[in-house]
Amino acid sequence: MSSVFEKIGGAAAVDAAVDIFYRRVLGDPLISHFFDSVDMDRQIGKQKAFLTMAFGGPNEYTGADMRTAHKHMNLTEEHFGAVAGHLQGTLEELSVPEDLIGEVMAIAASTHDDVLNL
Amino acid sequence: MPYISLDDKQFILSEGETVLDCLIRHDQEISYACRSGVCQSCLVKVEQGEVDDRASAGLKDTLRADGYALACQCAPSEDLRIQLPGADVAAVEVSIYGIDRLSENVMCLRLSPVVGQEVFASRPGQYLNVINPAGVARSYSIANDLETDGYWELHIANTSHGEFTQWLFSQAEPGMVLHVRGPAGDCFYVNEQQESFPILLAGTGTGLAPLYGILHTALRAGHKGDITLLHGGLNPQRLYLLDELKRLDEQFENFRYRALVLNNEPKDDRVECGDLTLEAIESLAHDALGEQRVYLCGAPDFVHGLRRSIFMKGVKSANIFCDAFVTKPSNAVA
Repeated sequence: MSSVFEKIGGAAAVDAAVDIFYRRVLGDPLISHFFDSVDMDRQIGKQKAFLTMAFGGPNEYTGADMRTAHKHMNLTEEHFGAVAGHLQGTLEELSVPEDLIGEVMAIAASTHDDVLNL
Repeated sequence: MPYISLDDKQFILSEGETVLDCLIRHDQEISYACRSGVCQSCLVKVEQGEVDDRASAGLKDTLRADGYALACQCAPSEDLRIQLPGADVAAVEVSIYGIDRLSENVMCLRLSPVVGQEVFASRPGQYLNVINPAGVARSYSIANDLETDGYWELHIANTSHGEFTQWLFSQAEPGMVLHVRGPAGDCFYVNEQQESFPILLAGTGTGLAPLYGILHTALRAGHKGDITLLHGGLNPQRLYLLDELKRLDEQFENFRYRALVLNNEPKDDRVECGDLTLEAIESLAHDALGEQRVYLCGAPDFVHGLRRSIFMKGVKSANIFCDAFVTKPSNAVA
């Protein structure tokens, strides 16, 4: 039984997705300011780690990490929904099969409470 | 079983063990996160030995060319000598070969390694840490190829309060002995497949130094794609090497050079008025954004702002190489 991460194409899929995803996020005025960090290489690294997690790949993220990382950002449902929308849009742009997109979105949804610190 | 050498230590790998796992097992300090070849936290530099492609998948071309690999994806079948990023390499003793003015406030400092020592490999566009006789250290970008010329050429702008530049502009003399560490930075020309991608080079002030080094490397390699160099400054006095670059522009059909200023006073016919950021975006090869390589060097606001705009235009993040000059000892300032 292979994981979503393997089915979607592993690290190569993350590489293909990261530019599209990051470009979408930076282009969205609702959330782009959260990604204003000057060091784009670092930002890309973080986006890759996030995508790996969302794709069900091996990662070291814990719920507590997600909480701490987003704690002082005053995020709302709207922000969470925007990022989720860009994740879905990225996968659609890459013609990922619908059932795999569903699996990825389910993993992303599971971070909801930790990201919003609920 | 093969072993890994790190500094003066050696570790024997277990069957199928990755370099990362082996280093962790031996309590070595190495940063890592995803352990799946994605986050690139566990970069190591391979100095001796071969690793397979898997260990460098997803890395920027420049990092791969410099021998970097991902420790978590690297399970070598032969012995490796590796170095962790940021590790101190022995300083090289250099003597001042020449100090010449390139303009009123920019000096060209040429440093030749004192004969008889092992000198680290460096590439035009990377930067060196230079330590003057008083022990003041600053980073400056390499504008030429040490192997061809026998010296490193650095372009250094006079900053009114800079400890290093004060010394350079008033006391430095040919023959003086300094020390150099390095190199660092991924801003250099690499084209192993001999592709003909378009290159945009854009910089402010002494950001020209790395771009000049990259330009010469590309031209010497017979680069087939178009190369555009945009050098910007407040006024013509902030620019330098104008005649030399104009000459190259005439000599090479695929090379175009433009000197841009916000204010052309005192008027200089070699220079045009224009916004460097806007002109840079305009100069992208809009029909070949997927292949476009971009090098941005100079003032941090300029570099970071333009990097983002160029990425948003569709250039791949892995094909944008930057060197933002921060006026802090640990980073490149020229």
